[in-house]
Amino acid sequence: MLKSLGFRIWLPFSLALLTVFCVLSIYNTSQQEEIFLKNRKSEVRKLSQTLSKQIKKGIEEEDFESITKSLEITKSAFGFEVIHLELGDLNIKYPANSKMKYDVSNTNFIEDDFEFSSSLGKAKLHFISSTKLLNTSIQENNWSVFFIFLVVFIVSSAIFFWLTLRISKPFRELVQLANKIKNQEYSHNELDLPDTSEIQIIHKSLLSLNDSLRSREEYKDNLLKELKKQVEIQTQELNQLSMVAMNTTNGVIITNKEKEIIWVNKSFEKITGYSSLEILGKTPKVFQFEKTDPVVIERMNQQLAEKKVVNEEILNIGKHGREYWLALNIVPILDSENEVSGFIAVETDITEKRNWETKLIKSEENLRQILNSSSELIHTMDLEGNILWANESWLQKMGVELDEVNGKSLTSFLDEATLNEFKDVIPKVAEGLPVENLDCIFISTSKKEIKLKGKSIPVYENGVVIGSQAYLHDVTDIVAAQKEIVEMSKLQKLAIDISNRFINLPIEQYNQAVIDSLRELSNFIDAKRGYVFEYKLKEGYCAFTHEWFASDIHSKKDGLNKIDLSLMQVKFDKHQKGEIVLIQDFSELPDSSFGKLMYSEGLKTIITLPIYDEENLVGFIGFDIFDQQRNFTNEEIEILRLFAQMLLNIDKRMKFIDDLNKSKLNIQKMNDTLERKVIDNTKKNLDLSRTLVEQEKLATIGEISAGIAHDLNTPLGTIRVGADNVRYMIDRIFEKDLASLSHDNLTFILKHAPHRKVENFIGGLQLRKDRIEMHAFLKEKYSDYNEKLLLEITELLVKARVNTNDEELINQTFESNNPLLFADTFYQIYQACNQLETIKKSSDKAVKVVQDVRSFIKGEGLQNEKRRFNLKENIDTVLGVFRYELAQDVEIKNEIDDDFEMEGYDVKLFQLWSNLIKNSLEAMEDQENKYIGIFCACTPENTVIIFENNGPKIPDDVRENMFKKFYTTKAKKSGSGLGLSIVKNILTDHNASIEVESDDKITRFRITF
Amino acid sequence: MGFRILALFICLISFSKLQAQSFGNYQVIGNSIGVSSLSETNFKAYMKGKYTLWSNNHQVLVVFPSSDHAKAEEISRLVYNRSHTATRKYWLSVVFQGRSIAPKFCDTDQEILEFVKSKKGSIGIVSKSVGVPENLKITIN
Repeated sequence: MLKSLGFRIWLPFSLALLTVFCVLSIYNTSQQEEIFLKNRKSEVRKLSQTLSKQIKKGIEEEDFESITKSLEITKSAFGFEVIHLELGDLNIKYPANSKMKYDVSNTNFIEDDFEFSSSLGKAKLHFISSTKLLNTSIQENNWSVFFIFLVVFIVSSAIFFWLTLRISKPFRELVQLANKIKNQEYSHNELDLPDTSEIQIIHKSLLSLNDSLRSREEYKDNLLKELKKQVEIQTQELNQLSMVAMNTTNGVIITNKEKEIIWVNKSFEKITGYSSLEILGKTPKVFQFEKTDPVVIERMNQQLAEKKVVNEEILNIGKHGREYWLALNIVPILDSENEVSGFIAVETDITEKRNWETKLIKSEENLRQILNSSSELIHTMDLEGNILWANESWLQKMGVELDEVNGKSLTSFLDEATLNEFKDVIPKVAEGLPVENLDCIFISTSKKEIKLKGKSIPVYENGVVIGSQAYLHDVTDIVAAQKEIVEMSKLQKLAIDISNRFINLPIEQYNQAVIDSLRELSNFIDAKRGYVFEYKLKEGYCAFTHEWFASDIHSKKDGLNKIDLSLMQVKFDKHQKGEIVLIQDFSELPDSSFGKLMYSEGLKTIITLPIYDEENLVGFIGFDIFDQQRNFTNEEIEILRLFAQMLLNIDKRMKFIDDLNKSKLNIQKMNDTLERKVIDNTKKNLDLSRTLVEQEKLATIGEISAGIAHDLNTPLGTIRVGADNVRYMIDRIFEKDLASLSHDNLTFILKHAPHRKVENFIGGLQLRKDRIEMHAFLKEKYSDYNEKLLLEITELLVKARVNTNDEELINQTFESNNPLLFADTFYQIYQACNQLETIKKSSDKAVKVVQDVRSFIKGEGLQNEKRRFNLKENIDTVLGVFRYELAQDVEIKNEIDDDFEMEGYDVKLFQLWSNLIKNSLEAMEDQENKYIGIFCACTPENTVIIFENNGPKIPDDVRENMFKKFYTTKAKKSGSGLGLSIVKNILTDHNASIEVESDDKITRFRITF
Repeated sequence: MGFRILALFICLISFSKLQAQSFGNYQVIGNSIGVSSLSETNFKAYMKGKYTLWSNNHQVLVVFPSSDHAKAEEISRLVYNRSHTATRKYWLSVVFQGRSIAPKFCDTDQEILEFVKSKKGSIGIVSKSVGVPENLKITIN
């Protein structure tokens, strides 16, 4: 439908029509709105005028009901948002609940005013109508217009659709006809059109064309069916004929009697490379070439001529030059008259088989060659032990030719032990078992032993063991080398053991150790004697130094203790050249030789090796071998040389140790003497040092003795005055009439007066205040007493520091027989006790001064061990000694923590602090403001104590030398030059250091512990 | 102190009595308003159009002297405590806003009485001298 011609014509027209109607609708709407708005404004104007008149009338006639009705009618008939009425101060709106807010500038509202006068005053009516109602009206009006447009559009579309269908009808029918012809659903009914119509003509032409095509197609189908049938029959026949030939993997050829090929199968094509079309009509000669055996060809032709079946193997060549072997089976085809009408040949490609055979032969040849060229000894033998074959190495080692050993028994080449083993090997091989780890000795034709190792494996033929093949390698040299290595290892170990033995060897065991070494070496080299000779070249002889000999021979030491060099000139000459002397066959020496003369026993071999000290020949070692001759390898000779050299070194070391011991003894004696002298001198020095320190201390005490005397004098004076006062008070007490006081009164006084708190320094103002308060209190409470008595009692009580809270004491006073006497006695006893307390404190003070001086002058010899002490107390002791001097205008700032403790020689430190304080005081002697500061700073690692003063700067040269002994700047006074030197020594004892900083303002000693 | 409180109390009592006596020359009339007596406050509220229905669901219809009425000014002062013109303005605002039914303005007491007689739910005020049937009399407490 959507693709139909009518629809495709109608659709653009309808869309265009729709667009026109849409444009018209939009235009109509805007026009409508303008007209309606204009009308509405006019209506509002008229309505506001009418309503104003009615309201005016209602007011004038006091007919308010008519106003209500007018409003309701206007509202229901016309519709508005709100009406405002302004009447004097009245500003009201209808409806009252209208909450509409409007903006007159907004085009959504239409408004109008109308003013009028009434009996209630000038009024103004403001009429506001919303365009919302207007829009609703316009919309309602527009709907009808839209509806008309829509109807017109639908009708127009429908009409045009009908017209397009009418116009496109012939075309549609033509298309339908074409489709029917295409789908073969046509009929020969003519169209309902005139014959002259183009459509009718086209219709008829199409029908005739279609008929013609249909008849041709039917003819073609029949022909095709016939052909297919014939092909099927022929194909079936062919299939049957070629089934056998086609399915075989062998090549099949059929020839005529002229041997021209008339048929081949696929296998044949595959073997030869020729296609059947290429080969048909040709004879098999095309496969023959120069390598084809002509004899075979001839034989085949002859057999075929005799109508015989041919079975031959022949080498042919293919199309692509491939040479291939064929196993041919040619059968002549005989007709009914027994004449050859053709041949059928069946060919089997045996090229691969032939190639394998060739390779096998080559492989065997290669193997034989490998075996022949192998370094291993390889032989093959039968189960009887007869040699069938041996390789070149085998023949060479045994010294024979292959022909000689072929068929010869292997046993003729075996030694006795191997022969026994061989008897066990043969049965195993016969069972088809391999024999591994063969270890045997063959004897060559030259009687040489050949040590062999290897294996033997069985040899099969057609699955049956027919013999064995042995693979052996010559290990003769390896075995000999291994043996030699073992021997050398043993000898090296022996040499190391011997050399180890001499390490740290006590000198007294030296000779025995040399003899033991000779024994061990002799045993190793099969010698029965080992010895050491020393050349005495100046004296012209040589002599035995050490000898070891076997138990079955005799020592020669006595006989050879001193041999003239001329008797052994040959040996000596060789030794001088650094050569060894090796006589392998002692019997070959001339009978007149010195050796022969010396050795009547069965000595066979002798070896001697020279010993050199740098370039000087000093001796030799030697070994005598009996029973059999012996060869020495180079390594053995080298180790014996080393031994000889080692003996020399050890001998020299022993002599050196001997000398060293003697030197040590002498040094020890000298050390003992020196040590005694040092101890004596040290003791003297210590005594001297102690004396010096003591002197320094005493000098310090002397210098400050005046101050000490002053310190002692003050408390002693106080004690003296206090004692006088006490005496005076006691006298006064006893002058009174104590009897007038009761026992209870006296007991009370004695009990309370001594225990009252002593307040020595009470200000006058405080006393006056207390006095007034006490007097007022007594006056009020004891008003019956006369004023004078009360004043006296008040004075005494206040002096005794009694206040109005001590009611018990005051009551007791006034309850006594004589209150004035009671108060006076109480006061005197209170004062006496007060004086006694002062005496006690003064005596403590004097004792403290004495104690400080005593502590200071304690000898340092009394303290040998460090101990923990309170640093503040330690320094305070010294400050106490200098109390008098420090009291002379010196500002002391001691900021060391009360609880700080440290470890050290506390008594020695007195000297340290006193020297620093004394020097500070002396330095500040001539200045008015004096200051000494003492501080302490602690870190986890150390303690730093600082002494500082504001004395003059210490000159640099003085500061550099001030800690040296006997260095003083006060030589003219009393300086010994030891003070700071002692300080330094004390610091050294404490493992501490001191630093000095000095400038014009401050001098600071920083001591780090 | 006690004296001052007593004096104030006496004054308040005197004042209330004085208020009650202000309706002395006029009487309130009503037709089928569901009650025979009203408090002064309620009466004034009804007269101001504050309520639109009586307890018996009759619509409240206020009948008031018009400008031509001889006692219009006096009654306006008595009921609304304002001038008659102000009363008209008041009613104009009430009626214009649709808050209450428009009152009926009558030129004479007789006209007021007649209108009350004819309209159920109507309430008005006339001089005491006017003879009013007992069923129309409303007592103001």
